[in-house]
Amino acid sequence: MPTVGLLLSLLLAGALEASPKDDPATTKSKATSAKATRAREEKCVDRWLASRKLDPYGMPEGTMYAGGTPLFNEATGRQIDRLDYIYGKHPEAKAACAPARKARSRRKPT
Amino acid sequence: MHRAIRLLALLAVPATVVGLVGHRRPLQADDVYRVASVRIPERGRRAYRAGEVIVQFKEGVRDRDASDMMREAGGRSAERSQFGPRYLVHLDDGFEIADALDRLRTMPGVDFAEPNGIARAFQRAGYFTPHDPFYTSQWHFKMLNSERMWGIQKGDTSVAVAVLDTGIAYEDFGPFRKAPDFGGTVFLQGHDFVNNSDHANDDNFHGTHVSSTIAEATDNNVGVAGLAFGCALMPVKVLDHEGVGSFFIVAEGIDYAVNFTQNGQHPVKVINLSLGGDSISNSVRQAVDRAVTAGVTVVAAAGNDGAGKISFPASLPNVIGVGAVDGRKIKAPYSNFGPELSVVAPGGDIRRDDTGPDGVPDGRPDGVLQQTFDPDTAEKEGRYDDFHYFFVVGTSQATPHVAALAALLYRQGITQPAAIKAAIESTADDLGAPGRDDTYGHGLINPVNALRGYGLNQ
Repeated sequence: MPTVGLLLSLLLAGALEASPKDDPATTKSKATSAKATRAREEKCVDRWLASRKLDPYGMPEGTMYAGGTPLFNEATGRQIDRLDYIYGKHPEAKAACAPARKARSRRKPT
Repeated sequence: MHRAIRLLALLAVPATVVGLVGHRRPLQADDVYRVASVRIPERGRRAYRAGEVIVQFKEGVRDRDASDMMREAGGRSAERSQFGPRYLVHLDDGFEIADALDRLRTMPGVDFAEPNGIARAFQRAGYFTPHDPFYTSQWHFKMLNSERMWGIQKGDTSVAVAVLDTGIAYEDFGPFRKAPDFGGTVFLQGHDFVNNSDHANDDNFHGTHVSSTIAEATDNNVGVAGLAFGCALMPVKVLDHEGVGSFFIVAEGIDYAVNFTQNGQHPVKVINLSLGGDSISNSVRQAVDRAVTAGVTVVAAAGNDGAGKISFPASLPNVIGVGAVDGRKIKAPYSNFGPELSVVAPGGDIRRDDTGPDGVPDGRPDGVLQQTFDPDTAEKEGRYDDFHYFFVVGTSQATPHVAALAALLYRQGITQPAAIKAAIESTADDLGAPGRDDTYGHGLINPVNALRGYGLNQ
C-alpha cells in the first residue's frame, strides 16, 4: 500500500513537472503561435480586402477619416481592433478568414 | 496574473480621472465616432457685469422687432450702439444672464448674444492673459507659452484658416446652432461638399472642436480661448456625420479654399486637415501642390494608429505633418511617427492627469479642451445645440495648434508656405533623440520663438 502511495506521488509530481502551464518554453511557444495565427488572419483579411478594392479598414479605396483612422476614438482615447472593426462591417470577411474568432477590444500600450 | 494586474491598472487610471470630472457614458464595443467625451459643466468665476448682456441682431432686423425680442428675454432697457444693430441690454430684476442669453440665442433674428465682460486695463507688458473662465484648464495652450505668444501676435481677419472637416457649428440654420463661444469669431463663406450646400454645418462634433482650438472667441468671459483668435475661419465640410470622406471631396475642398476670393483678396492662408487616409491620392496631392503654389500652408494630422507610418496627406513633403504629445511632452501612444513627421503639438492623453498646478493631478483628464456639441444628443435627438466643453485627444487636436501658429506667422508678414514650415520646424523645441527624429520630428512647436524670429511686432 505505501508503495502504491509513493508511486502515485511520483506520478503526480511528474505530471505537475510536465504541466505545460509552468513551462516557459511552452508559454512562449503559445504566444508565438497566437502571433502567427494573427499574422495569418491579417494576411487573409488584407487579401480579402484587396480583392474587393477596399482600404485597410474595409471602406472603399480613397476613403479619408477624421484623425486618419476609424480605429481611434478621439473622444475617449480608445482604440479598437482593426479586424474586429472590419468583421463588424463585413461578416463575410470573418467567415472567410476567422470563422471561430471572438471579437475583442484592444488597448494601445501606454 | 501579472498581465491581468497591468490591465486592471490601465483601466483604473481613466476610471479615477473621469470619476472626478463628471459625465461619461459607458463605453460600447462599436463606439467609433459616437461617444460623448468627458465634459465640464458651464460654471466658473464670474468676470462680467451683473444684469447686463450684449446682443447683436442680424442685418435687416427692425428696431421694433429687436426691442420685442430683448423684452421677451427679460430686458428692462437697452442702449443701442452708434455703429450697428448691437445693444447693451439691462435685465429686469430676477432675470439671470444665462437665461436671457439662452432665450436670445434661440431667436432667429439674433446674430449673437454674450455677457458684458469686464474690460481690464492692465496686462503684463508683452503678455496677454484672456479672461475666459476655463482657460486655466487649457494646459495645451500654456505648454506653448500662449500668453507671451499673444503678447506678440493675436492675428486678424485678413488671415483665414480653412478647416476641412465635418463642418463647424458656425450659424443658426435649420437644426444647427452656432456654438455660443464662437461669439464674434468671423467666418468666411464655406461650402458643404458632402451634401453640396453652402451651409457647412457640423453634424459630427469633430470639426467644431478642431476649429475652436484655432479661433474660439477669446477674452469674452465665456468658456475657453482659441490660439489665433483674431483670425477668420472658413468651414469646409468634407467629412460626413461619421467623420468619413473621400479623396475626391477633400481635393475639391482644398481647391475651394484656395480659390475663394473676397474683395479681390485670397484670405485663406492656411488649410487645416485633421484627417487622413491610408493610401496616396493624386487628386489630393495635386490639390495640395496647387495650394502651396498659391501661397497657402497645408497642415495635416499624422494619424492616430500609433504606427510607424504617417497618414496621407500629412506624409507629403510640402505639408506640415503633425504628431501629438501628452501633458508631459511625451509622444502620445496613438500618435503615428515616421520620417515625414514635421513637428509635434499637444494632442493629449485622456487617460492621464499630469497637467495640474505644479504637476499635481487636477482631477481632469489631459485632453484638449474646447467647445463643441454633444454628439450623443445630436444622434439620439437630432439636436445640434447641446454645447459643452469637451476634452478630446488625437493628432486631430494637435494639428490646429500648428495651423493657428501658421496663421499668426502670416500675420507677421511671412507669405510663403516653405518659409512658414521652415520657421515652425527650425524654432521647435527638440524632444527625444538630439536633432530631428522620427518620433517627434523637429520637436514641439515653440510659437514665441517662431513669432519673435520674424516680423517687427516683437
